[in-house]
Amino acid sequence: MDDPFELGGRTYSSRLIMGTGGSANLEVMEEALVASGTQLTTVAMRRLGTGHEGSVLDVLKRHGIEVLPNTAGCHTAAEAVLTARLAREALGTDLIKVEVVADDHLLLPDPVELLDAVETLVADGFTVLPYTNDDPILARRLEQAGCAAVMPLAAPIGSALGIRNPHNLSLITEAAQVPVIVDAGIGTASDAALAMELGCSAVMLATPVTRAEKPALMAAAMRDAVSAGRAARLAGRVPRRWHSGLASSPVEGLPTS
Amino acid sequence: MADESVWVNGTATSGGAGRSVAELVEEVSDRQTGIAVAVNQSVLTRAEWARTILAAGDRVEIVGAVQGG
Repeated sequence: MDDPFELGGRTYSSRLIMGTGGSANLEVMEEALVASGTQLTTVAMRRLGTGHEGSVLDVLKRHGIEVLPNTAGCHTAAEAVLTARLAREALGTDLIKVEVVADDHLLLPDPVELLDAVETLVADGFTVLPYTNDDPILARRLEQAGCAAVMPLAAPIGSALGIRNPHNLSLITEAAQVPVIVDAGIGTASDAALAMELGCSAVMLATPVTRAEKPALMAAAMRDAVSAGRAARLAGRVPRRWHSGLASSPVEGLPTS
Repeated sequence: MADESVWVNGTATSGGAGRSVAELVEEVSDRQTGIAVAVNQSVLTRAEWARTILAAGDRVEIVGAVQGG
């Protein structure tokens, strides 16, 4: 089935965006990225000399995976804007995943700083993908501000708690005219499938794969779960019936009647 | 010497003033691709590295991509 994922004027066949954070080493990361089938992968921007820079880009280049820089670690709009501009210059992409977190404990987005950063970056010509709370009204405001997608959390970053509020996520996907990409909080394959069944266009994750006991195996499970969830969404599930009057076998012709 | 220092990635570095950003980057990084530089919160294009001469007190950020997100 031809079902391309369109994002900011680009087209992808994979609906799984994988992060690179949390891998034990680059070899494990590479194996997981390949197994996931992802075509778009996040990186963070950090000062040189911290000993981590560089080689992650070589891995992505080797496999033709597009880079999606983020503003992870930023706490204010000003920090996020500077980080985004550095990323654009360093990596030659206008894509930016905007993260502005309120503190380093919960890592929850700061909605006021986020919207402020988004407005500046949209005006500056970026293709803006904001990491946001699962708040339908904030999602609407971010879309109105010109974001190319909205990325509501399933649960806090790294928590692996799964989708804590499927109702909110449904409200967001019903209303949005841009892709909704669930981001953060996915724990296992069924969470990713559920996100897609709720109408998300894609799933973004890192921790549940990179910190799994067998990262490449979990990456493949996530790939399949996203595909299955997407197919189920498009197929149109039957309505839930609490007191089913709809037998799946004929009611007439029983030999005992 | 503090007055002659340039701040490079948060650390006061003597001998930076009067040099170009391009020279500084060459010294700090063995990689010349995938990195970007901001001086006093303003991001430079690569073409600006050679012609931007650092002054005492300038704050230089040199960053690259790492695993994350």
